[in-house]
Amino acid sequence: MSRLDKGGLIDRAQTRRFTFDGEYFEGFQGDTLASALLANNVKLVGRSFKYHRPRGIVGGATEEPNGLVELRSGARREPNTRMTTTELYDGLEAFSQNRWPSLDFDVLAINGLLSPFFGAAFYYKTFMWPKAAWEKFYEPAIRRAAGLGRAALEADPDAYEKSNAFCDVLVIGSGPAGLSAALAAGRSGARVILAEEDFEFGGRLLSERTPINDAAPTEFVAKTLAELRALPNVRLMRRTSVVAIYDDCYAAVERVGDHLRTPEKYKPRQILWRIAAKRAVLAAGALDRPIVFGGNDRPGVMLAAPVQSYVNRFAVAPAQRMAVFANNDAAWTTAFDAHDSGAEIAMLIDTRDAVAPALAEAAQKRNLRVILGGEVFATKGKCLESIEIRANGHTERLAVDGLAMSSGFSPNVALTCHHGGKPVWDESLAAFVPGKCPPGLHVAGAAAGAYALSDCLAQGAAKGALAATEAGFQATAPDTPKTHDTPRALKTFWHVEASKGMAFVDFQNDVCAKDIVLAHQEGFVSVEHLKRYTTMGMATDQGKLSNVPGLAIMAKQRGKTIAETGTTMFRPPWSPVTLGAFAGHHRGKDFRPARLTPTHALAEELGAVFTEAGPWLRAAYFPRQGETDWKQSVDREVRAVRENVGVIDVSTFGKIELQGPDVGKFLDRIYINTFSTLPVGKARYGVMLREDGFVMDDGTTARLSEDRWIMTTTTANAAKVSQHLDFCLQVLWPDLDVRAVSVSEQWGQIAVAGPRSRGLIAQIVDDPAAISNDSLPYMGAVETSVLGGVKARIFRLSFSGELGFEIAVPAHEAEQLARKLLETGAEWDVTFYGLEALAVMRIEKGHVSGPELNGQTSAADLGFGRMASTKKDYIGAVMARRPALTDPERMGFVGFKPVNPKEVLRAGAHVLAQGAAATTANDLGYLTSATVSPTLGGAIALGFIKGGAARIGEIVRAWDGVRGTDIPVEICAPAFYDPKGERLHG
Amino acid sequence: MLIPCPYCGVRDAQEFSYRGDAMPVRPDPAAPDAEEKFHDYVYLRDNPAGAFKEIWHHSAGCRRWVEVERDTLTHEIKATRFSAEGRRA
Amino acid sequence: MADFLAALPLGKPLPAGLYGAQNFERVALCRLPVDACALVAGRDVAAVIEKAKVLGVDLCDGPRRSGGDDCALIGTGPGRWLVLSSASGLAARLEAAFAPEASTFEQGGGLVVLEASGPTLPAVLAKLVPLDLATFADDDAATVTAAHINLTLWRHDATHWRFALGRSYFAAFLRAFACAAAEYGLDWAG
Repeated sequence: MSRLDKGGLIDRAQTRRFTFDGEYFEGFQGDTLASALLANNVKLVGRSFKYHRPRGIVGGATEEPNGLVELRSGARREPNTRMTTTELYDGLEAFSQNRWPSLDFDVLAINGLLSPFFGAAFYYKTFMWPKAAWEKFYEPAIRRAAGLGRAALEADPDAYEKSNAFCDVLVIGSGPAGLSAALAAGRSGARVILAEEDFEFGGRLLSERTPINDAAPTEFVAKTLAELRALPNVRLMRRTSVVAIYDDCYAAVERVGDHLRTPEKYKPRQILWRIAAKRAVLAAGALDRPIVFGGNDRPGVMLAAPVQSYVNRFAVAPAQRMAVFANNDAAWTTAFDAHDSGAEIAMLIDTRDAVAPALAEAAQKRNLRVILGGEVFATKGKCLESIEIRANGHTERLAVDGLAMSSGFSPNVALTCHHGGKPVWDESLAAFVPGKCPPGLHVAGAAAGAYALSDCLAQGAAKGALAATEAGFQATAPDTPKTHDTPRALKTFWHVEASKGMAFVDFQNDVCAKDIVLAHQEGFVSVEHLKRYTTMGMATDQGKLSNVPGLAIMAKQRGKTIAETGTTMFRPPWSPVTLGAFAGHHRGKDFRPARLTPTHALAEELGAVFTEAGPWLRAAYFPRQGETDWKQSVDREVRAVRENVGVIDVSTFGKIELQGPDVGKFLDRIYINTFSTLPVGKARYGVMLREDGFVMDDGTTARLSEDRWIMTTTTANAAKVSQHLDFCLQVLWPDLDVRAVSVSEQWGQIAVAGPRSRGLIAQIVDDPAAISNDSLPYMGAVETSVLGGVKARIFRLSFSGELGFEIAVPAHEAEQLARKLLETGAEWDVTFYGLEALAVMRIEKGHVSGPELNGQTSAADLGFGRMASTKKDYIGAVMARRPALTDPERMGFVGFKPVNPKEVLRAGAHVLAQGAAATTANDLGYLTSATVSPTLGGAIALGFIKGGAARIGEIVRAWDGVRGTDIPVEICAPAFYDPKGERLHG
Repeated sequence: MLIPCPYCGVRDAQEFSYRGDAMPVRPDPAAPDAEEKFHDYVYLRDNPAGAFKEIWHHSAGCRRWVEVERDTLTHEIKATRFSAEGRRA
Repeated sequence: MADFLAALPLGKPLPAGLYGAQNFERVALCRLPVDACALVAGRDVAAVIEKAKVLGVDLCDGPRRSGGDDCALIGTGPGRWLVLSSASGLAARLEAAFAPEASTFEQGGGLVVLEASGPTLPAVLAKLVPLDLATFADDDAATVTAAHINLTLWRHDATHWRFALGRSYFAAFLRAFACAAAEYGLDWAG
């Protein structure tokens, strides 16, 4: 056991049992999976991405590149989970990744021996020939060998949510700077949100020992939290990572249930927060960085600052006997803390030739062996067994099972760059510090490069007060507590060039120093090219450790400074976000809200099969007993309408009511045809164009009274047309007095069609005379009542081509109306029909619909050329006169039927001349809608052909390269059924 | 991005639909060069890096077309007004 | 998705009942039986505001609820209001009061009006509506989308919020609301 006897913020009274690769372990409440494994002396935790080298835990938080596991099992299995951020819970199951057959013995570790061949871009260079083998052989083989964890194959059983929060000041991070900022802002009365990525507030204060106000730093944390908790205007959010800064808002992920075996019932696993904050203080701290030297990836080699965390926060000595290898004072503090806790520090190696006397004294006081001007150039052991040190011309091998390394800290500047700002290189810190920040964002403490504890406390307080003041509150920075600062001196050092063995820059992507040298030799010298060529800085850690050392090596190759070579762009998210969090409630059948027609419940009772039509759930057809496939049902429904009477809910059409003195004038400008002359009580079919001259939508508009009109749009274009009318009325012609309101929801509309439709409606309309042929002729509209006093608008319209009526009633009455039609019509065998039968009938009639109104067709193409008025201006009128839109060779709307009536046509087929090769140059047109017509007893189709109606009678081919058919077809008029429309007048 | 709607107040840009350049004015269809003018009106749009006047439809809110003065580089919004009013100004 | 929704078909509105956590802090939701109209002013909005006095309404041309005799007018856009009333003959009353300066459009058949309350309601609404509802005073209103559903909402009083939405979205809204409320519990009166 490596657990220290005392100390730490773990609760030793609460044991937490868990398994790793099936083996049983115990840890404590307050552990992470990483600290618990280290406490159990588990050093080997994974295999590397490319070379399958044994790897151990390196870091202590979100930066961890190696300690990635598959967490949980079954449907909850989550790959590439960082064990350093995984809170230990009872029953936790974790599995190492990227190894076979076992973590201890991994066959593909042979890749490590072959590493001289596996340099940067190895795959690109090696598997180029033969080309065909890439997809068939190379890629699948490489994919099996590479890749990390496996995602669950089942649907995620947990819930995710999205939520919104608003505040004056958002504080990101709860270390010394963040706590002070929150306190300063909170005391002013500003609404404050304090977001902490960890499961405990306190940041580095949990991992360090420097007293604040003569007490342990954790006491300062507790006291500050107590005050913040007492402020009603402060909201404390732990387990919450602010992952991105967008325009005017911050995105954060709260891990509500990740620390539990399964989320609490009815609680989500995670919440994606959209936080609108007037100001923010970034106090995200800084991360320690590795030194690049031979064998620096051996399990047991760790970063110094995380080692300090394991010792102080988790009471774990990560090794029995450790050495420290660094270029800075901070790593010495790690050595001191570890030593003081009872861990053995065998040697302290510093690349500097001299350090401050106080530091040397402190080491001497502890009897630590210090090597100045030294470097570690090699390591040995599957897990670390020894290191080789070179100093002053001598070398020494030292037996250790742990090495804490540090090349200095990198402030966590990522969020400051999300608006395109570039961080700035600070040579004295050997680090990038924030450059131009997103508006409203202040940076404090280590994230700003101010590492000293007193600076963190003071800056946090000042920036917190500033943020609150800018947000409109009177805030003053609280007094800075009394503390002292540990030394932080540093001398730039990145790379032990005279190393033995592979010297890793990026542990997660297996990128070595030599790969960067190679990238330089091959001309990939820009930092962005370097990243893509070597894959340095990709995957879950996004270069949090590798970025700066890698850039330093490249800069040296180029003979430039890091300031000159710059850094790659930091993009959201700061840490990985589960896709489920982005989806929230909107997954599976809740992907988008489903709209229901007013008669949905009745359709369900009648056994309808539903289909999605945009957001709508619509009845596709109503199967009856004995019918074995959908076409039987549809054919029966079509026959019923053609021969008897059918009923369908058409409420999904867009309906816009227009009132006011200028409606007629307005409609004349919207439609290609004239409406101002439409008499009261009449409806007219209209076509509207976009301003570019192509058709936008079609539908009927009726005049109900002198200045009250009702427009219908297609279901699909209801919102688009509404927006178009808003534009025309508000922007183009605000002088017109037209009041337009969408009444799509208000009116439930039931179409009754067929030779016996009038008879059926006569049973339900309160005044049967209102629907006689005289009072309601074809294209008539009347306001009347049905079912004994229910207000109704009846239109004599037909999409099916039969005598037809559409009855609009307030939507909450529509179900009652439909039930009455069903009940009254029972003796006539009234048939409810669905969208499929409607589609068949409209193709039989050659009516255009969505497939024909495809944004590429003009009114003339669709056969509405003569409808277009030449006496007025309307939207699209001028552009529709362009030569290309009036070219007689344009594709025009026609029908098609197969020469052999037994052949079936499919929409999407292209039209070719007989004998012509299937080339783009020979393309004559295409089929938009096709069906097998029960009325005509064969396949029919609608579509477009060059030259249009002039070619009726010609035989051409419907060529379908996707389905592999090539069918001779005859071009015909689009109206296959009752072309003169005699049945409409029944 | 937040857009201050003159009616609804500050709202998320997701509630708005974008149309683009606010400056083109629908030409006189009776003008002798109407076809050319309409071509420019329909197809030619400025896309400046910097200050821009554009129109957005508050489709999920008050349904007003709103003219927005926005810096396309910083997304800073200087002013908003109902679209027709802006045109008259 | 909460488990009680997994088994509920999209075509069936959530039946009345208790859902989610069984807490005292649960959210209550009920449907209000009211008639509705849209009132749209012509160019003279001032005249419409003047005429509203007949109905005892001090009409605000903004996203606010203006209460009057047996009716309330909620601003949905410039010169546009959603008018709600539990008295009969609303359309005729509005027509008589406002024509020709404003036009009346019947909406009672197409709108569902819901009322929600409960101590945890703010947290539930935060999941649905991207607005800073804590800054809303009584009668403040907004037309907005919640879970991709267009609706008009207003703060009725210190503890009650109301929503008006299209009836085709009613079932979908109940799903989204129940999901958001599940962790606190929902008492849906139907």
